[in-house]
Amino acid sequence: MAQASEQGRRIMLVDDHPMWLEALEEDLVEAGFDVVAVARDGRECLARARAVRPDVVVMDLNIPAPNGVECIQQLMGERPDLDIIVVSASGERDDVLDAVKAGAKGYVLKSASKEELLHAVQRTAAGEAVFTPALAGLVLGEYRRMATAKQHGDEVPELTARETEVLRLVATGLSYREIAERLVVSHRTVQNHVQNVLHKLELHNRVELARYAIKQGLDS
Amino acid sequence: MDSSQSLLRSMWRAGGLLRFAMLVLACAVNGLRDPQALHPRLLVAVCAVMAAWSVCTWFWNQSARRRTWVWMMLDIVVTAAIVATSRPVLGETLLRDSFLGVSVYWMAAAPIAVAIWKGPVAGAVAGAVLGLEQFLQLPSLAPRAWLDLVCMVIVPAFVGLVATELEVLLRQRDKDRAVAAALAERERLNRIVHDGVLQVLAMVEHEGGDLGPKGVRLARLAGEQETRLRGLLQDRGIALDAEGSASGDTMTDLVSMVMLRESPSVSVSVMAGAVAMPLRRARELDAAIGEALTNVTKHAGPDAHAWILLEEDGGELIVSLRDDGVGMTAAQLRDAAAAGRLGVRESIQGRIRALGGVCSWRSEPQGGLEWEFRVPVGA
Repeated sequence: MAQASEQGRRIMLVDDHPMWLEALEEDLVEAGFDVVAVARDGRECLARARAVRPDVVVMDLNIPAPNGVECIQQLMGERPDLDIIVVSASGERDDVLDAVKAGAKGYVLKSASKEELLHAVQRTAAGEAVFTPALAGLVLGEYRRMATAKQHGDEVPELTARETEVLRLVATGLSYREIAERLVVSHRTVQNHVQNVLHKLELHNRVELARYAIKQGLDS
Repeated sequence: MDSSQSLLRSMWRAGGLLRFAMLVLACAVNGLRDPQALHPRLLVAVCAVMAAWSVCTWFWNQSARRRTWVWMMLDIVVTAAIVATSRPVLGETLLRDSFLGVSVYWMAAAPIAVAIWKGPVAGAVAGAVLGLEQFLQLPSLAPRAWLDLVCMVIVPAFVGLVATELEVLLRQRDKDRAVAAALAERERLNRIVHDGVLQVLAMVEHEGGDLGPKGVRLARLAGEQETRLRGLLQDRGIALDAEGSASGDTMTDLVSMVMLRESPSVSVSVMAGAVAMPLRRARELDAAIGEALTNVTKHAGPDAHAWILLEEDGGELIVSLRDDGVGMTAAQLRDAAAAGRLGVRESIQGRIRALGGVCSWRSEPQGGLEWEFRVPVGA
């Protein structure tokens, strides 16, 4: 079960499907979480997040405009300390990758069991990255893609050999504990590696966005 | 406004401007030869009429509704009347000098307008009528005399041809765009429908467990369908097929193919995007993965879960496959392979080697079995 400090954190739910909003809210409240707001589309999400200032946002990506990825981008720009977890039905790979690059701390499919979902929210609330095997594969692929597409003079983040190893183990379904055992390191070290991988990706994305914005500004 | 409409508008504007350019030319030529003309004042008057008519047609032709048969005929008749004054106004001597009538080349503007309006044949006929009229003012075998007649047929015919072809082309493009827009809209609607279905299936899967044995069964069924539908929605094989057929060897997206292996007991991790691979190679690699998964269901125990990781690293594909089943020692696995069991030797190792790749495994008791295939993407 969640620690008291995690359960004290204020949660906002964003989903355009009322049945999911209800079910998620019920489950989270039952588990002792404090659900302070719900939103059904991107505009509501941004407005309510500014008004109630939640600590954790549980977000569906497929919502009426602005979409989930844009919302995450916006929210993380305003509140870098916010913890966002994506709970999506479709699992579109590009969307999920964009969400993580924009700053989401994790991603679970809606078809995950109740326990898995709750566990994921608890870990996000505790500030941890929630790395499912599918997400690890996507992130690994993205680092490989950036390394391949890299042109002379580009600065792209790279994974250390250890980080690659950890990601591959996550992607093949090992838990942090199992990885720690296998690599003979502490659970905390594994967590740090994972967090670092996400952080580098997010940072790079922000630099890219800023560069793009400046270029647009200069061109117009 | 569609693009064929705006193209027609600019063609009409170009036709009008051409008429003014020809007017300037006619005035210049007539100005130079005015003193030698039989009736210099009448020549000036004819130039004034041409200028007035140019302005009239410029404004009148702006609206498609006003471009009627009567108007087009009137344009030809007015032009013909001006051309007819050539011999009486200029006099035979001056006309024989250059065989250029009072309108010089201005008379081509009306047939060009007809050509833009009704196509090359109508334009050529109108041009022939006016050209013949000009020729008959002073019939002669001198090339200067009849070459203008030929030009009066060819130029409007050419302009008409270009106008018609462009219009057909742009109509087709507009139609294609409309079809593309309709397809995009259908795609958008599909997404909404599919998303709704996925949401409900996921909900049944999520909540079914709490509803007793029947609920558990429903949840399992919903889970299977949800995984399948999600896999199908991410399938990008079609686009790659079309791309590859040009090069002779059918290509497919390996990522979509491997994604279809996902099920409640198999998790698949892939990169975003697609990996184009020759269809036969992709099928072989996929079959090797399938064989390894069959192994899992046969030997790793009923509750075993399998994970597949597909990576591409600089032209090399890396497939990692792990299960959390009962596992076996390396000696057991070697024995099994030697005995031809597990399908290991032929089905997995043989396939990977035939693809020019390497295959390795490790196993720990209670730690499940791990495979790694490394295969080049191309042949």
